[in-house]
Amino acid sequence: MVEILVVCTLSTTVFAALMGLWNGGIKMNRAAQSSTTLQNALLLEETIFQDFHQLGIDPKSVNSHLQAENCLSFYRVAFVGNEIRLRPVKYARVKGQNGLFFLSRTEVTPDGKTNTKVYRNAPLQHLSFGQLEDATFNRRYLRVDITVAESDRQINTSVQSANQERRGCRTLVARIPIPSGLGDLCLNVATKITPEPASGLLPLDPP
Amino acid sequence: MTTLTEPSNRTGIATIVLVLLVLLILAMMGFASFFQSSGTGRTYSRVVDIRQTIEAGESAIFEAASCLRESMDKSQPIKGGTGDNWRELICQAVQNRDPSGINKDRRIPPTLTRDVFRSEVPSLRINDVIVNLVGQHFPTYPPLEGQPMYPCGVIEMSVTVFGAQRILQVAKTIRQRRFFYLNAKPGELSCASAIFFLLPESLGTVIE
Repeated sequence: MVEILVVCTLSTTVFAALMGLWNGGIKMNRAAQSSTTLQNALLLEETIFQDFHQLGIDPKSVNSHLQAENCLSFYRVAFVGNEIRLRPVKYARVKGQNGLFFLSRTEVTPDGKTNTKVYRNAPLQHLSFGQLEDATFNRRYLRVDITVAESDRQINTSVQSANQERRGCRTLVARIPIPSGLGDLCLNVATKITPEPASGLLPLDPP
Repeated sequence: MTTLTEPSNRTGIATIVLVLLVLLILAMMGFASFFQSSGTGRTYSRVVDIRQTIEAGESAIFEAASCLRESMDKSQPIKGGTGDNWRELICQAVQNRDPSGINKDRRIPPTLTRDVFRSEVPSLRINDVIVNLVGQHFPTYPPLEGQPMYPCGVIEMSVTVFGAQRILQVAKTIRQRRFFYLNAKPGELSCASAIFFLLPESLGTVIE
């Protein structure tokens, strides 16, 4: 009789402990997913930040970049000998399942090939590109809003339930650098600033 | 005298096994959370480290450009590094129409940037800024038709910065090019009276 009582007590204790562990495990899993999601958002932001930092402007072109809500196209600077080459780069959002998006980055390499990379390990709930203008100092800024969903978010079917889940959000604002002396005759003879041969800004995708 | 097969001992062994099982699960959870936090921490540290190296590199180049402009304006050698007087260097190159004397990986130490960043992040390492003339136009006098009269050129400044966290091995080289010109025609060039313009906005930044 005593043994049965002891076994029952132990079983109850172990069951309670296991329930506690189960609950803790679920919370840890959620925390891990949130952490991974934030990491993905951070890494995407850094990738775009480094490209923005190297943004270049074609003196012969009217626009420094092309921008729509779902797409952004600009030049990245490369130094080749005495010349400054401009390599077209485009960021766009690619539709996935369940209302999610993926970020794609396209770059034209020096040999004229188009290199596209889609970041499929970071499903996005929201991605938009915008431009801000500071009338006081006549400066322009590019803005990117990223909201990354949990990576196993595919099991959910509705966007509403996804919005209640944890997610990683980052916003990047970077000033468009406009070099002094662009188009000046003196500058033109000292260095050439030209896009890679046979390439202009990559065209925007239809919305 | 009892044996292992007796019920009280079996209960004891079962209890120990269960306790060990719970402890094992707890330990696994602990390790999992440790690895998770460690991974997140490493990613965040690396991102912060890269941002710091880029900021430090750009600040170092900005300081070097300021030293260069001061040397061009006041005709005085830059302290530290290769100690060059850039007004004399450029005037000689323009008068001889030969820039080869300038391109010798001339260095400018970014002392102020180093002090500021070391006070915040002691283990961040900033190399000297290397300065080179990468493009120039030193016109003949009288100038040819369609060519600008004024001497001008493009200077490239590059610096390598090593991140604060040695284990992550972050090292970035930042390159910037700036345009400069003189307001004196080569035939009338006097090193003492020429006015130098080094434009503050770079023609582009490359991060390697």
